[in-house]
Amino acid sequence: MSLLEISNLHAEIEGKKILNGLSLSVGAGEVHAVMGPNGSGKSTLAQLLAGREIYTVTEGSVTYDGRNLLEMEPYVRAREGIFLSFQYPLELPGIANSYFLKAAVNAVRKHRGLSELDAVDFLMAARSKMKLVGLDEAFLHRAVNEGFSGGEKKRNEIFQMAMLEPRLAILDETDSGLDVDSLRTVAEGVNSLRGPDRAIIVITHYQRLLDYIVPDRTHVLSGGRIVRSGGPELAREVEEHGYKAIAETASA
Amino acid sequence: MNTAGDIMREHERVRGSLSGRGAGWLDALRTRGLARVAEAGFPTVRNEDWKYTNVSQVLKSALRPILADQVRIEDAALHAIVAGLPGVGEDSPLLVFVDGHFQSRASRLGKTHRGLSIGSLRERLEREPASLQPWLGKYLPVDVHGFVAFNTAFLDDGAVVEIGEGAIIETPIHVLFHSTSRAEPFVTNPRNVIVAGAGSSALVVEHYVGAAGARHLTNAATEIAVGRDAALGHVRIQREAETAFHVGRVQVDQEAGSSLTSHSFGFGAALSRVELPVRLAGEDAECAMHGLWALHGTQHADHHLWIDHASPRTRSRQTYKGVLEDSARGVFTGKVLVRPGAQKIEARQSNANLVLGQGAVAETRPQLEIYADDVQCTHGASIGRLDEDALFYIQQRGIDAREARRLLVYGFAIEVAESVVPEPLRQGLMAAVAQRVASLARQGEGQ
Repeated sequence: MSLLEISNLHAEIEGKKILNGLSLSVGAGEVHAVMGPNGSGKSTLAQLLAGREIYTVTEGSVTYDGRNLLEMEPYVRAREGIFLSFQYPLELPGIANSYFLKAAVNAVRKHRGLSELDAVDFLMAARSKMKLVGLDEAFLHRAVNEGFSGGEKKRNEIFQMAMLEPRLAILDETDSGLDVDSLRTVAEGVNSLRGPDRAIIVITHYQRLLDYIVPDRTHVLSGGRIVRSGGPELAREVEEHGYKAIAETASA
Repeated sequence: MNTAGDIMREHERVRGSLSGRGAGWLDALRTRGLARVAEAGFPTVRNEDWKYTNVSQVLKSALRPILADQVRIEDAALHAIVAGLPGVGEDSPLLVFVDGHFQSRASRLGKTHRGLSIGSLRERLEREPASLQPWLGKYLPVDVHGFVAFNTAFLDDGAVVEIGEGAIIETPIHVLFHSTSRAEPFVTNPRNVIVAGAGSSALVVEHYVGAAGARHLTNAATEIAVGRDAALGHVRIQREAETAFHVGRVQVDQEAGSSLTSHSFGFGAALSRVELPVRLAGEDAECAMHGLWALHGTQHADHHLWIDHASPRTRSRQTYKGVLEDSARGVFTGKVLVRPGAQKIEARQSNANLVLGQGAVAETRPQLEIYADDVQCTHGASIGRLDEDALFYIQQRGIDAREARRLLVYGFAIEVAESVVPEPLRQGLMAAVAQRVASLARQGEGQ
């Protein structure tokens, strides 16, 4: 059985329909790319899976590890292993990265029946994971994302992901705002976190991230539903012909 | 209650015990205070400066000072209170007052610090009253309102801190005003004098605390003179019992080239009003005013700043923040006056409020009066709730909703304590803010 099973999902915000019968099945160990033009519902899908309450599900279901995901509080989803790398990571002035992340890691570990990390263990783990994404240790002592550059914020997201060891990671436009070097570093960080027990959904507008993080499956989202699915080559097709052509062939 | 007659009778009762009696100038000063409060009474909401702070509940109980021989407190209890004060080290200079009276055994006069002289106002007025004549009432106008007049009429004890010319005192000097819980409500009138000599550097921390359930009014006044090129830090941390009332005025006068860094924390008291008038009297003087109140229940805190740019090239900055839970009420008034001819002025003001409770109210009033043209003046006020996006982000990392909320409030409030120099006072104040935010969060759970 799949780790994540989205079936005929309809969702709206303030009466405006965004998802219109979206179905997607993601198994453990798989990397899925979800591509789509602006307004296709990509970010809604990411936020909804993470538990953002501003969206209303009007039809369909989401099952995660055999349980109804939609009934879980956002923090419970996180503790159950769902991680969302935000398109726009929030700045949290006054809250040190180290304090925040240690609280998060220990909340998750406690939920999973693991012992909490003490300050030393945490620091050791953090140091090694920061190397993965080329983030200097000084960032641990700064306020969460405050004054970070776009690239630093995205690296910090993947660093958090590495620390939280999710079962399902959703990367929402992790490539946006990154230069080529940052993109490569972030992608390498993500690739190092691929594993048989971990599913990853890469949400992106462009194909370029998928040159580095090669997906097992690629889906094209349009008008709130998946209109095409295929292998990694589908991303290049999108790049060549554009979303409009893909959507038209799909509906033809 | 507290009519002119009541006040006169009360003054009659304690007059014989007041310090330094017989010094003509001092008797005259008290008499002026007494005459003023008897005549004009206390401010009401009809007074524009007190529009949002109704002190009628404060005046429902008789304002009766405690006599020195009525003060009872165990040494051990006092030591425990001192140990709980943020930033106080084993060797910190420390003046301790209980119910308005100096406690010499619990105090440490810090005599090893060259150029520092601290002690009790009472002792000084008994021993050499003339030495304070130049300072008492010099900048603080007796008639500014009833509370200052009352303080002056009953002035008896408080802290005297003198920093000699050029003296650099690295260790913060702490002053504690503790109020006990008594059968009958009472008033204390701490009167403090801080004189920073030319070119000196020091930091004074005033702590106001009280026993749980204490019913009293702390009616404090601090007069500060910052000499030429001196750098003074002043921290005021008010953590009175939430059954108490607190009124305090910190009157500052700054000579040329001097700087003041002020922090005012308001966590306690049912109702509090803190006034910080600063006169930038000399050229190139500057002040940085920081404040934070964090309130819940029906607490009310009013901060009233008045920055008087009386000379050219003076700079001021006001950074005030408020956290309001439940039905708490926070008031901020930031006045800036730039006098004619005071050119090349920089004045910045911001007041940010986090209004969390359904019934909570924040009032924020920038009042700018500018009579010069070469002035850079900015002000900004905000009244907001917690950022939903940030709450979601934190929860998405596995932290529950309540803790996410606490973290955000902490992140908002902590900035005020973070700007304190030096360590370990900074760490102590940050811990005090964290503790206050956590206690607000715990209270919130029960509702």
